[in-house]
Parts: sequence; C-alpha cells; structure tokens
Amino acid sequence: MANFQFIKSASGSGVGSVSVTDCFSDDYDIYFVISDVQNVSSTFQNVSFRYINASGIVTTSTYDSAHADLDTGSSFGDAGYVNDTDHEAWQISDDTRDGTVGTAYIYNPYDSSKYTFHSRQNQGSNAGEYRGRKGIGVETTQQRITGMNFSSRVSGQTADFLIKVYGVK
Amino acid sequence: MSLVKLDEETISSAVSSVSLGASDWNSNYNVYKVIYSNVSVSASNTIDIQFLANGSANTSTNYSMAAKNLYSGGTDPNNSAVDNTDIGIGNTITTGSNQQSNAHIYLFNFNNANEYSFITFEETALNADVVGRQGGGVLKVSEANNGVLFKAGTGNMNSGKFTLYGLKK
Repeated sequence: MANFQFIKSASGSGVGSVSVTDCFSDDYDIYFVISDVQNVSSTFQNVSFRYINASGIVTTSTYDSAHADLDTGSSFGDAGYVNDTDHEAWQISDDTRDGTVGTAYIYNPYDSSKYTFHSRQNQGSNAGEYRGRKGIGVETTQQRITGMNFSSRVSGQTADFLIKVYGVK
Repeated sequence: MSLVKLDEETISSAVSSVSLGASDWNSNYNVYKVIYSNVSVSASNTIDIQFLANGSANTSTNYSMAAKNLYSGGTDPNNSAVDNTDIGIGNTITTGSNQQSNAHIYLFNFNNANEYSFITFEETALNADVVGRQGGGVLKVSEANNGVLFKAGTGNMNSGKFTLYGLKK
C-alpha cells in the first residue's frame, strides 16, 4: 500500500488568495503540502498562510513562526513572529524574479487536543536576488483544523496559486 | 515520492529510547525516510539520534553535525558538533503543556559498508516559543547501518510516534 497519498489540490489565477478546504481528516496525522505561486503582481512580497476550521479562516493571534533566509546576493537573514495573526512569511517572491515554490510538512492539524505544527522549505526571490527560506511554525490552539488558506500578505496583490496536499500514512 | 512503511513504534509511557529498523530493516532501498511526531519528554531534553549497526546503536564518538536553529523569539544561531556520540536532531523541550517535537529525516548510504552514513533533518517543536532545527549529520564510520535509535538527551521520552519508510526506487 502506498504510504504517500494525494488528497486534493486547489488553484486560482490572478487572485489574492486560495483556500484548500476539507483537506485534513482523521485518516492522517501528517501532511505534505506543495505550494506553487507564480505570476505575482508588481508589489507582491510574502505569501501569508492561515489555517481553516469549522468557522472559517483562523485569524486569531495564535501563530508563532520563525525562518531563515538563504540569499544569493546578500548576507543570510532570519526572522521570528510571536502571537501573529498568520504565518505571515510562508514564502516570498518579487515580480522581477517571478515565482516561488516550496514544500511543507504539517503535523496534527485534525487532532483537536494538539497544537498544529509545520516545517517548510521554499525557493523564491526578494529585491533583486533569489532567496531560499527554511521555516517552522505552530498554531497554538488545541482545535480541529480542516484546511488552509494562502494569500498575498500585501493587500490587493495577486498571483497564480497552485496548492497540492498529500497524506502520509 | 513513493514511501513504503518498514517499521513504526508508538510510545505512550516513559522509555529511554526507541529504535526503528534492525529486524524490520529492508536493504532494498537506497534512501530512507523517518518521521516522528508528538514526542514529549520527562525532563528538559533534546531529541537525539544514533545509527544502528547489526541492530545495536553505534555509540562511538564519530557523529558530526551542523544545523541552523530556528526560533520565533529571537535570532537563529548556528548549531554544530564534531566527534560526538550522537546527533542532536531536536532542540530542547521541557515538560510544559503542549511542548513536543516533530521532525522528518532522510537517511543516505545506510546499506553501503564502504561509505559513511549521512542524514538530513528538519525539526519543528515548541518550547515556550516555536523552535526548530534544520541541518545534516554524518557517522564517520565505514559500516552498514540498519536502523536508527532515538533518545532524549538525559531522561526519557513519554510519548511519540516514529515511522521508518523506504523510498521506492
């Protein structure tokens, strides 16, 4: 039996956000996610990531995250976020080196007794240089998460989003 | 990616270590993957890994590693160790509520008795703030390895699920 199973995908062209609904279930504890964001608009920067529960997109101040940036043209950098309203710097792309692609592992989203953790790696660009990013995060609520929302962190910006979700048995 | 499950161990009470592989090892793969989740500890501890040779952990001072620590509450320091008795996969977590470690690890060259065995790893955990570690390590012994052993730095692990997969050629 295959232990790495495709669940569903979601996409949108020239849009500000894409949601992947009902992709988590009690069939899996761990998920693998591919996020492909292309054709970003002129001042698109970071991709924002939020979870979805039965009430909709989770916007509470319960997101902690950290990442390290691996830059091709400048010193490596890092950033941390505590009690944020999203995982605000999931991945990044500027409009001159268009596009960012990455993967993530998500732990325990559907378990209402546990926090939801993730780790991620992606490749993108920022301000004239290419940028790899290694990140982690946790949503610090014991709740059942059913889906994900990807959006432009900068209001009004758009991109082509393609999200694929796999379950790990 | 096609994963074939080879071994799985779940703990719900205190144990000093967990091994994957040994009699459940299948040498028909070039690359292996390990995922652990929901690992908690009995005292403030890191999560460490050793490699099995003929079913027993190699405890020699031949493990070296380097990684980037990720931390939501501050800067992200580098982390390294040379000629150690294990590889620190995970940051220190404590017995606090919801503190746990999750990680995925790739194993390379384990079946080749003429080469060193290597790993790469990506951890996400909670210790007040979200912490993680992404990097690589090596056992500098030319031997075949047939599994891995996880242990807390000085105490016990109280919970967790550990799964070993082969990556289908």
